[in-house]
Amino acid sequence: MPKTKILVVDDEEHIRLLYREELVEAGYEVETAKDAKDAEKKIAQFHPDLMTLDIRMPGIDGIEFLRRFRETDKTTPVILCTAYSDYKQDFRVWASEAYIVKSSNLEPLLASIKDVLDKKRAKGEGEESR
Amino acid sequence: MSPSDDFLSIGRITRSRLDLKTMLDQIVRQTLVEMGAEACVVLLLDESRQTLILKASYGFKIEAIDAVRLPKDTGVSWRIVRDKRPVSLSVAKNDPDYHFVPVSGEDKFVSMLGVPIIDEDDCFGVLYVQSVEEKEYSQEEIAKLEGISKEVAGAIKAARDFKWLRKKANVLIQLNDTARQINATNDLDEILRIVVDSTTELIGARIRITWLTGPDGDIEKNHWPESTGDSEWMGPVREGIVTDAARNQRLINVPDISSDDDYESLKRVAEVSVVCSPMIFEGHVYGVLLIGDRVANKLDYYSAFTSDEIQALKDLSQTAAQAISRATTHIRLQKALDENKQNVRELSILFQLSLAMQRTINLDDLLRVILSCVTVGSGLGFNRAIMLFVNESSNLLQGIIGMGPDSAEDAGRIWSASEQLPQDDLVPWLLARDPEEIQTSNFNIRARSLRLPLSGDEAGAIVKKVIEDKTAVNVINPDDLTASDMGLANAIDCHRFAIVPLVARDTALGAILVDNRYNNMPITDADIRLLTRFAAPAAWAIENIRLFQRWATVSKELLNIENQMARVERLSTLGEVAAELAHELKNPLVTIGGFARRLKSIYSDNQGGERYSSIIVEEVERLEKLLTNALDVSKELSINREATDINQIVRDSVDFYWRLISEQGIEVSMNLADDLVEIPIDPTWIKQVVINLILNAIEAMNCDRHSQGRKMTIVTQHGNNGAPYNRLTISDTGGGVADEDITHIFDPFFTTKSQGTGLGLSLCKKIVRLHHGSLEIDNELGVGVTFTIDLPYKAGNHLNKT
Repeated sequence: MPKTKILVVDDEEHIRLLYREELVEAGYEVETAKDAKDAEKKIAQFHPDLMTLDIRMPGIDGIEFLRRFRETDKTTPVILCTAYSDYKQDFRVWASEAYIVKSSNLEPLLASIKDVLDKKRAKGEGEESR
Repeated sequence: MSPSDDFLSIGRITRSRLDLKTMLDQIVRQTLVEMGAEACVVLLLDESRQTLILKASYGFKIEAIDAVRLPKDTGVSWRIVRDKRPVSLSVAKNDPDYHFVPVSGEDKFVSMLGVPIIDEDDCFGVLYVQSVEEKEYSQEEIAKLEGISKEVAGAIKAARDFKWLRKKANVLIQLNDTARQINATNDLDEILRIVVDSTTELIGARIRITWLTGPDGDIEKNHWPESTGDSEWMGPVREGIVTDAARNQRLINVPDISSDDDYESLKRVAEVSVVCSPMIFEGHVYGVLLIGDRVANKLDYYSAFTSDEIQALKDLSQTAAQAISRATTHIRLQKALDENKQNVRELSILFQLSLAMQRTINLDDLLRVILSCVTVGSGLGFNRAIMLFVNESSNLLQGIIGMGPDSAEDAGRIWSASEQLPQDDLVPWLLARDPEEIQTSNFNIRARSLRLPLSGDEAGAIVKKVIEDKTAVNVINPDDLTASDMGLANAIDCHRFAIVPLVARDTALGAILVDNRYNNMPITDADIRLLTRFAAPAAWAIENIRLFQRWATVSKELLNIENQMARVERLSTLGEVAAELAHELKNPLVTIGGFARRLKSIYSDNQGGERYSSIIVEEVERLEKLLTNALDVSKELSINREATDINQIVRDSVDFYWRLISEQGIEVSMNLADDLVEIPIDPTWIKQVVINLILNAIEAMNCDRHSQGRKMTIVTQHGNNGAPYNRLTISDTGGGVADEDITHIFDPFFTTKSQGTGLGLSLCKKIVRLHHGSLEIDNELGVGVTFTIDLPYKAGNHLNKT
């Protein structure tokens, strides 16, 4: 069974490194992108099963990128990450599957990824069984 | 001796400047000689031509000059006077008209020749001679006696003319004198007294009475100096002859009361005669002068008045009328002058008062200034005054302030100190007049409780008239009060009062009510006029202050809004800064913490490595939490409301810090109301607020300079400002907050304390605001601060699950 592929989009190099290490260790195949433009390229090459997306980025921000992404891809789950919870009320974040506040403790992120993937899987199986 | 000689001798006598009596004496002697008779007599008619009086005689034993009086148509003498023809009698007593007067002489004379003393057609009396012998008188003798008589007539006429002229001159002098006297005074009584006195001297009247006319020309007032008042018996006289004389502007002469049928009532005042003379000047009757009973010379005998006397009376009446006219004009002028002076005084008071009113910008002060002006003796001088305002929303006339003594004793005390308005500094002077006494007086309390409806069945007619018609009402007669007005009259316990509207911009904004309950002085039209004049600037002053206050409120609100906007702006900037800061801080923290965790797992077998990385993980977690808390300030809190006893929250919170409080020697005074409405609030959050404020107070008092008198006061109370609310105040004696810090006290991150996060008050305010309440600080520098939390019962404060 091939590994689940996760694309981490974040403008901070050290965050990308931390996430990569943690997610690889958790058994995922990881690719990273440093901004929206880079992310588009990586999506085309890598075809991720799930994407973590930082909201605050230079150039096109996470929310705007999510909107554009959803125009073509309606199924790939996206988890929005933010420094704190000020975007919770923004209806545009509803386009994501989950929303987490960044923390040095990555447990919530890992739990959220697992949760989203479980749901996706359940949905996929349902479709297959039809 | 020739006849011409005789005439010559008689003529010598008559042309000599002897007085009449001496002349007649000499004439009768000479005539006796001339006529060869034994007796000679002159009888003259008196002024009234009713009596012949013996004026001279010679040949009789008894001298009876003036004593012998022959009533009209008695004896031969009267026949001579009547017929104006000589009578010659050889034996006198044979004549049927012969009348013997015993006192006049003896009955020895037999013959008699008498001739009338005539000047032209005027007969003065009789001259006759008698002889003891029977004798026929010749034509020559008759002609001779007639010649002598003519001389006598001429002499009498001359003497009388002289006497009349002298008397006339005297009268004129007297009149002149009287005129001078009465023109020296403006006192009507004095004028009439002088007039009346001079009627005695000038005319010899026993009865003298005067009346004055009123403005409509009717007899109004009697001035009869010897009596007072118009006694009952005088009434008919006044109604009769006096009124006639005045109305017809004509002198009425009644020489003989007994034969007069027109004025029966005259017998009440006089015995013989009455003359009634109107006092007329320039066609106006000023009064009537009545005289009666001419007193004859030195005798207790009354007669009619002569035409000369009546003329004198006319002159006197005219002089009197002129004097009265002058005096009344003078009195009128004086009155006008006094009124003018009064006007000037009033205007100067008004000017002073309106200046005073314009200088006042506090409404309470202004109302006190106004009512002081209305009640102070040297101002308008009413006993009591009430200021009433129209309350448009409830359509009432409402008592605002009352000023006046509570009792007659008070009134005496207050008015005994005669107060004079000072020339300047009127406002402080007025305001210094026992302000507390005014505030606490029963009358003020009663005045403030006045609520007079302006519409509906209970509206008083007077109050309605004052406010709707904007006219002053003066209740002079308590009978004029309608049933609807009795409420007001009873409330002020006075049934004579006046109300004047306060009109500004053509609207009655209220009224001033005044009365004179204690000295019972009637409120005059002049009082009302002055009060109305005064009310105009007063109304404008009140209106100005109201406008000023409205403006001040609006500008204060604007200032508040501006402050709030500035705060919001600062906060929103702060929010952005916080978000920016959060990102900038969060990402490094995430990587530091994240890699520390990784290190920790790598060094799980290395004691030092694991411990150090653990420390890094923990410290990062602490920083992250702090950052999250800080960001919560600008985040919505969720409120879970439930019916809560705020007093219990207070008690719990104080208990919570009891140890700290007692350690620092803080005295806690709690005054918790038991009538608080149950308002749904989030007990957890509100408790946080209360704890925060208590902690603030404790910290504020926790320094050496406040070691004395550390006191925290916590009060809860119930209020209603249209909707019910609960109020909680927490005061400390921590010395207050510096002015430059006070406006920032609710800003996030602000603190003057050396310790603490500075988030407390900002968060507290946010929590209270989410309960639709307010949190205000009242800072008294040098003393302490008081925090006031108002939690209203609003629709949005119902129990809900936000």
